[in-house]
Amino acid sequence: MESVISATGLVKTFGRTRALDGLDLRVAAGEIHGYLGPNGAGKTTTLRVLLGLLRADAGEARLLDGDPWRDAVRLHRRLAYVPGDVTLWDDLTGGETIDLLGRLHGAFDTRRRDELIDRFQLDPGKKARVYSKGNRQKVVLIAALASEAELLLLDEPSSGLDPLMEAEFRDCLAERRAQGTTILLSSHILAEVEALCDRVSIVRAGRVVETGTLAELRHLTWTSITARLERPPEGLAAVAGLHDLEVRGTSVSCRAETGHVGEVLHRLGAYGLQDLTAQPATLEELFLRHYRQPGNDAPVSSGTAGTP
Amino acid sequence: MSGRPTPRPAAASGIRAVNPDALAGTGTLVRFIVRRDRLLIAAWTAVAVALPLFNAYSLTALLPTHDTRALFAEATAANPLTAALLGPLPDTSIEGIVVWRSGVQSLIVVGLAALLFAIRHTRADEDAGRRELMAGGAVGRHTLVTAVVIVAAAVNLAVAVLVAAALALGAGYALGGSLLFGLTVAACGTMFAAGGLVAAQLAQSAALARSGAVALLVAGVLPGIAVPDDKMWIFPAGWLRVLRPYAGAQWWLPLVPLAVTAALVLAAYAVSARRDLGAGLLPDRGGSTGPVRAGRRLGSVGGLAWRLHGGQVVTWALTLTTMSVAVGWVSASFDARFGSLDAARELLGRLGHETMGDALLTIFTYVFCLVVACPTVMSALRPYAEESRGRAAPLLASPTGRIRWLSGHVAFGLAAPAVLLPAIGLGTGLGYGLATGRAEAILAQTGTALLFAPATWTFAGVAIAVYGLRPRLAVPAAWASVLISAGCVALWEARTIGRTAFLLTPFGYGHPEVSPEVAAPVAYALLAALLLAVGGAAFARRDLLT
Repeated sequence: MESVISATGLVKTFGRTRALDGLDLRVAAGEIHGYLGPNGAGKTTTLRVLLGLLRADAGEARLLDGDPWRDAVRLHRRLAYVPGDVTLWDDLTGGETIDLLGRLHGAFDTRRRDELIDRFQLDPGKKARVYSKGNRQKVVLIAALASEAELLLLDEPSSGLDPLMEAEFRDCLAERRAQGTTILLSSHILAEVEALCDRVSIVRAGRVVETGTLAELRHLTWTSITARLERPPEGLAAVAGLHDLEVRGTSVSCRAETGHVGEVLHRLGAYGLQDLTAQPATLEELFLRHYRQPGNDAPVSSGTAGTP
Repeated sequence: MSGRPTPRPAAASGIRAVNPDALAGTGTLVRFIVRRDRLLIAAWTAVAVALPLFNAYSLTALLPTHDTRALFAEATAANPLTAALLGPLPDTSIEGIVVWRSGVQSLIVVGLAALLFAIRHTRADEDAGRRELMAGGAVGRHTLVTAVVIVAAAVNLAVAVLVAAALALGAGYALGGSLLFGLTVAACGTMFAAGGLVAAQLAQSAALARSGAVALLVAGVLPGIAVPDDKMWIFPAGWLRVLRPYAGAQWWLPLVPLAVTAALVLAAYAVSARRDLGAGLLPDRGGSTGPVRAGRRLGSVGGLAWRLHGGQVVTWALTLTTMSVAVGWVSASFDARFGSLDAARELLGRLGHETMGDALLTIFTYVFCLVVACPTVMSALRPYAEESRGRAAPLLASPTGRIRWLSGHVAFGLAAPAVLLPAIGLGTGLGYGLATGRAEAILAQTGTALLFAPATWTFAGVAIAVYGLRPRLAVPAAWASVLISAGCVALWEARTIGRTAFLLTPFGYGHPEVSPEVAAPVAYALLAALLLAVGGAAFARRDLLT
């Protein structure tokens, strides 16, 4: 598939901090790409490099068909951006701010603006200084979503939104995807990413340590199985590919390696299977797996990234 | 705190004495304020101490003998502006002249620093939402006001001690008189801090509080222009006139500002204990609502700059025009009253003018033009403020390029003096013309004022060049360039530096005693353009501040 964003080996240092440390990222046309990582992992720096606000010290970045630093203005006509930390002009009202950002973008649909103001229930006549965090967020979201753009770069866009607005926001993104817009969604709200994203990249200490569709990522992990049997099992620990076995009478919980689920089920069946739940790893488990490793201050060795 | 333990029910039923909790956390807050503002406090102290010391040295050098001082006293009495601002010279001893000269200046410095400091820690923090963060902790109702007064009083006391030490040990004046002068200035400084606190409680925004408090300071320190001598004792500037620290010292005098301080602090307590967070008796004119849609012009960076700061430029222009008309009018009227005095004639000779009115007009025009450097620098520093507060990134992520973004702000900054300077010229010319019937003064004055534009642009150029190269140094560098140039005006007038050195500062070529040449403004215009180009090129190449 055609790449809308492709970054290879990006490095960006601020003094002694290595914010990006050989970062690779690929976002295909038309997908919603989840960009996951805790605070300080390098998500915002990546977006700022992709916008040409920062110049990478090393590595190569391509955005749409151009160089993010050199072709900034030309590329910005085709994208819209929602910053993570929203600061507005105190004396401008929300409505004025939306119009200003839209006019600077160029292709701005005022009908859609009014529709979005309605959907997000924003009072556009209030000055920015009296807005709550969620309302400030709505202002920049509306400005971005009302702009004609083939690429949306969103940096933690739903922070501060209430659950109703969050649902509205997810609907908006789904509509944009249906229209063919590519979306890079930086977030640490895992439920949002799980609900929306086609593919996910997990960044840690300035590097992408895992990337792929949710199914692909799950493929790398184990399936949790809990079962109730007719009689207490014996000798299960010896089964290949079976981990974290806990037996309490006739209740069993364990995790099965990818490719070994069938054999585990077969062995459990021998003890009279009464009840069974099997669930794939949640995104949270995938995510935490990368951050709960011992000594996770050091960069992850390249062996853990992407290898089956 | 009462030492007697009371059982809980009794405490709940309430013996309503002084609530010790009203001051909870004062110590912590005092330490926090000192820690947060240690550099500011150091600068404030240094300027307040350096000022009388500088006057002592420069006046001693200028007036070494009794005869020169007698001549000085005569010239001073002849100068209506000095007489109105500083009052009559009490005695012709050198220390008498130094405190007479330093008094009003010191009041302005300590007063301005104290009231801005007080508002910074109260209403400005409240505007920014930090007060809420703090008030959520175990902090009493009166804690903040108390802590600010304590720090302001401590800083002022330090100023008093250092001023006394500097004048007594450095200049060799009597210790008692030096201490009295220091203490009086310090007490007034604390009083203005308390005034700032009251303004912060009453006004609903920090900007409004600042304007109110500064207006109070101006009224207190410079009433001599409008108030007859027999009413001067009402104002702080008048207190200094009766102080006479080195001849007939009035030791009770510092008690007056201290009493006013106490009253103001009690008033601030009363308001702060009763009002809601974020509320004020004087609502902010701007209000919290506005247009639902952007106006036609709000579609570019230039339009944004106008929408954000245009009102300020209009206010500056109206104020300067009004003051200019008044000054032009007053200058003309001085001809009749003072034209015959010897000292006045000597001044005329230096300035190459025929009448006293002409001379005063050029001096006032020059001073007003110097003032325009301030709004120019403030405008030129706006790109830095926008960028460092994170408001540049969303615009630069739109198809607005770096240079377009920067030039939108810079063009507005350069236009400000191009509006303010003609306003001064028109105003002074109009006032003078109305009083004398010489209409050609309007054109001449406008030309003189406009000649100053390249000088102000040079300061904008310095601000933008440093902003492009080292953004975090832009604010100190820009203001330092203005301060150094202003200092050179004083040095040139005291003949400490030569003409060539003076012409190397932007304020040089416009000075009334320097005959104007076309080459200098042209050179400064080119320098300004070069600095702007350097700043723009550097800004286009560097990372955005994160």
